[in-house]
Amino acid sequence: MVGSMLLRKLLRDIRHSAGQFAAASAVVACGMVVFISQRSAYHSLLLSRDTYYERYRFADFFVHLEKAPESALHDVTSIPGVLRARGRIVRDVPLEVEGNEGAVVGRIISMPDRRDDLINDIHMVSGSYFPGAAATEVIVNDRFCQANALRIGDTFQATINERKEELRIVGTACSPEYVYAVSSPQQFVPNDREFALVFARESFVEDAFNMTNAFNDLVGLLRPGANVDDVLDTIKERLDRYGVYHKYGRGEQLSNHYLSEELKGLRNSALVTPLVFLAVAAVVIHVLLRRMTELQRTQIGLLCALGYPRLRIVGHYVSYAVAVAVAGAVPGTLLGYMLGAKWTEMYNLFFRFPLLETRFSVTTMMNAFLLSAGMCVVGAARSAARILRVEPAVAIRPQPPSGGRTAHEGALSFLWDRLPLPWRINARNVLRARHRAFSTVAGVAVAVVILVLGTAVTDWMDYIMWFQFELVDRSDMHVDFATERSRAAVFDVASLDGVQRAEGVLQFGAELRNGWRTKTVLVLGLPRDSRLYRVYDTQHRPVRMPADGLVVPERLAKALGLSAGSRVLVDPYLKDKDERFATVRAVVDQYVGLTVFAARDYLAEFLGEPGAVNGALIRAEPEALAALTRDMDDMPGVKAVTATGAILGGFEETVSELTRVSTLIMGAFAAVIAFAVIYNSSSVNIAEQERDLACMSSLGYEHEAIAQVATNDIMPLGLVGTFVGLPLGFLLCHGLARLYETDLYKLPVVMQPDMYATVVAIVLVFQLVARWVCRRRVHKIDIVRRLKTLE
Amino acid sequence: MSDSVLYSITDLTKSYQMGEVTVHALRGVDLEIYDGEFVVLLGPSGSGKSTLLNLVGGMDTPTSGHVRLRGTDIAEFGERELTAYRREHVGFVFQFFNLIPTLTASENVALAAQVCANPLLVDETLAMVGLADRADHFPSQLSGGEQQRVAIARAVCKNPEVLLGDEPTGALDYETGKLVLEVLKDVHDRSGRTVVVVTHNAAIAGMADRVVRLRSGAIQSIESNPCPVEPKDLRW
Repeated sequence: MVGSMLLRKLLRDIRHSAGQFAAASAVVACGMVVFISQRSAYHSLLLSRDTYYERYRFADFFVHLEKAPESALHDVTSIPGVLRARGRIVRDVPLEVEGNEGAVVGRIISMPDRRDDLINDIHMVSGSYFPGAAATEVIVNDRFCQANALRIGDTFQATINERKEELRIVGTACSPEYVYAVSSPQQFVPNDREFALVFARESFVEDAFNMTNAFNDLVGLLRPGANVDDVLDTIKERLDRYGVYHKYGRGEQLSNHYLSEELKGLRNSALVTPLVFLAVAAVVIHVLLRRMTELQRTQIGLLCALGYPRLRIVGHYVSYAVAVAVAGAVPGTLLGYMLGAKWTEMYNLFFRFPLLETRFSVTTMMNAFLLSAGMCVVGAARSAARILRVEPAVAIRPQPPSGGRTAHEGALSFLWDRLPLPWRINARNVLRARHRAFSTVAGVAVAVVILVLGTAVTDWMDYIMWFQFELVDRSDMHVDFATERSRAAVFDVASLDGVQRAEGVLQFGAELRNGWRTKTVLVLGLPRDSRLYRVYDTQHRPVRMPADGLVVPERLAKALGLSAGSRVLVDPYLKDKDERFATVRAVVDQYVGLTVFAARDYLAEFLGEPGAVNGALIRAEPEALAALTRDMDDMPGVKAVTATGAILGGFEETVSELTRVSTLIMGAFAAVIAFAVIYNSSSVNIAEQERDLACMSSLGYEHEAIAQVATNDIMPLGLVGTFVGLPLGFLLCHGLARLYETDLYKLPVVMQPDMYATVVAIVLVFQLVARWVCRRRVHKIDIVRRLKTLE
Repeated sequence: MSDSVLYSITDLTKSYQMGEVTVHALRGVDLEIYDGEFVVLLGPSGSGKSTLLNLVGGMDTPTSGHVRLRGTDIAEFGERELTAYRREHVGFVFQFFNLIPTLTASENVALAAQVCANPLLVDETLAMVGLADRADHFPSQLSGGEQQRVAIARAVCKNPEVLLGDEPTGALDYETGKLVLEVLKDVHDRSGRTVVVVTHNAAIAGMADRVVRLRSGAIQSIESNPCPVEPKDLRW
């Protein structure tokens, strides 16, 4: 019975503070939404990845080489750490697909006739695994088929070894190797329309590429406990005579790397972001309960006098906080799972899993609830703990009038004397209830930080695209030659119809070593005065290729401990080329991939092949692009043609749509926080000042003037919060960009002045709305009642 | 004291809802208040005296009837006009002082002075209530009597036509209460303004020019007092 009375009191307290209760619950709900949605997306992604990798035996190590006989496989499997290995043929070839005018690249991957226990097996989505006898049957990744409206039975053309082959689709599949289907580190988003995975019969591929009983790609599984680097070093030693281009472990595998980074980011953000929201909720609750316990001082005294144990009274106020958590958790959980499903759906656009679904996890839900209840109780603790210090005899007497002793106008009396009286009331209120002013400042700052992060995400993508495709790479197409050629090959390309400019390049993979530190990079040799590809230093000044030596990206310089003037060992992934030292001449900015630059002629000398090129950059008339792609696909000696603009394909729209949605969500969350904090502390302010405001009304002050006194402090405090939040947000962007920097990409920190202005404007609108709502409260004050009663 | 009528109140009623019960606080009150007189509205709690004062002071609107100030019916006023009326014509003194805790004594007075057209000087009004040396103190640093004197100074400073006191001694001890009444009387004598004081303390009636007794929302009697007593001679 006793308990139920306190429960009734709790329910009525909630009803009387409904607005503030709802505001605090909304903040908790936001935290829950982020926690649940990101955790469930994380778990669903993690589980999908692990089962996928396990079921289809995703390899532990990868080696690309020139050409090794099948017998060399034994050299690999005999290494102690190696469990099994599979040799295959992997080659990129130009494709011609009906209805697609672009430069389509197909990655031909050889598959055995029988696929028992295959390493890097494929998951059949439709059709069957080489059902017929025809050599030209192929299985194609389903995303490519969807993007090009291809169905089982359809055919397309591939230029293999300068011969056109008509390939027939007998099935569609997806592969654990291409969950994130990018063709190279330079391509940072999948382009399903112009990059195909073509799984073809081993026998056919061997014949087509003259690779009978040979392989150029090695994948394998390790024994438990084996060290991948040691194994790879041994493989390199044993297979070096077959020309090892590139070797890496699962961690560096392109698709897996992107996936792991996404998982890492999701895991961190699923913990940090909700904590920020819940911390704000804790502050809101603290302010709210502090006021409540002050206001209900006499009630607390009375409960003490009646013989209620102190802890029980403390529990009564703490349960208010728990009620906030519950009220926020219920809608937060529901919305969280809905958004989690949406998130997972979004991931499906980037990542291809056989099955990706949101899982409802009771543990996640319990964790979320415990976390939010815990934070709410922390918020309540300080206010409730004051109850323990209350002396009943003192508490049941009304509180003596609070003083203005904390006014610090002494030193600033000159300014103070010029401050209008209503503003003096505000100033002293702020100084007196500093914790409340602090909560407003902190809340607005958090809202600003969220907005800055939200807009920065949009900027990142835009900026990388602008930097890479407007500033750096100004070509329309890249052509790769099958072998090193003389510079005359470039003239052949340049003479094609529609070509405006062609520049020969020389590129190869290499390992760079400085002491014990090593990195695998792409080395790109450019004409010294290249107009189609420019590199920029960290201050965004163009850098001309030096006559000799290397130009390295900043991330590589940091990773290997290099600076201008350092010497670094270059080990080209080319057959019969020995490692040699080169000098670093400059450090440049680079966001995507890990590419080292040099003058083309220097690089040719470096390899001992003066005048050699193995590719070209091309700028062409826009209307001639489609025809040119076809012409070049047919040119002898051309291995692959990639259209630069097509690297992004239709994906840009998807990405910008996604960032727009996430920015919108972030904006909504920021609005909830800003509003909740301002509304809460202003409500408490107004409640505390009701008598003062009524008194001003009795003196004949207009409603407008009174409402101003009640809400004057919102804008200045909001302004302080904004200017605390902006640099904080910027620093956080920097921190996040550093945190997420990898060998594959780095995130730029770009905040355009207009972005700052937008953020400030948005926060200003939040404040104005909160102020408007608070002003409406002022109008509801009953003057007569307030002046006739004691608090 | 002149004979010209300041307020003419006719058939004034006020009723309001308290939950499901309709409370008739005033049931048809007729009263005239003259220029410069000291009136005491006397009655037990619930008699309607405070309601009457609030209606005269423009803090509330009547259910029916008229409150005419020199012929202008303030019962007809809207919110905006009432605010202006309170600003220019009325000075209020409350039982619980209602000073703004974050403003000093002189700032509290200035708060009133700044809002009206013809205020008196802040320092002078504070001196009038004997608090010139406490001007920079915050309410929390003043005794109850001193706080009420600041409240009187705040009301007087507006140079209003009428000073309304709602149980101005209700929250004070005997000695302090008498001191506050002395200040009120002194202000009345010096400024010649009309003062209306609401009280349940019959002794205070002794200092009034006229005593209006109320009970259950109606006037029971109106008595003129030919020889008002000095506040210091009051006993209760």
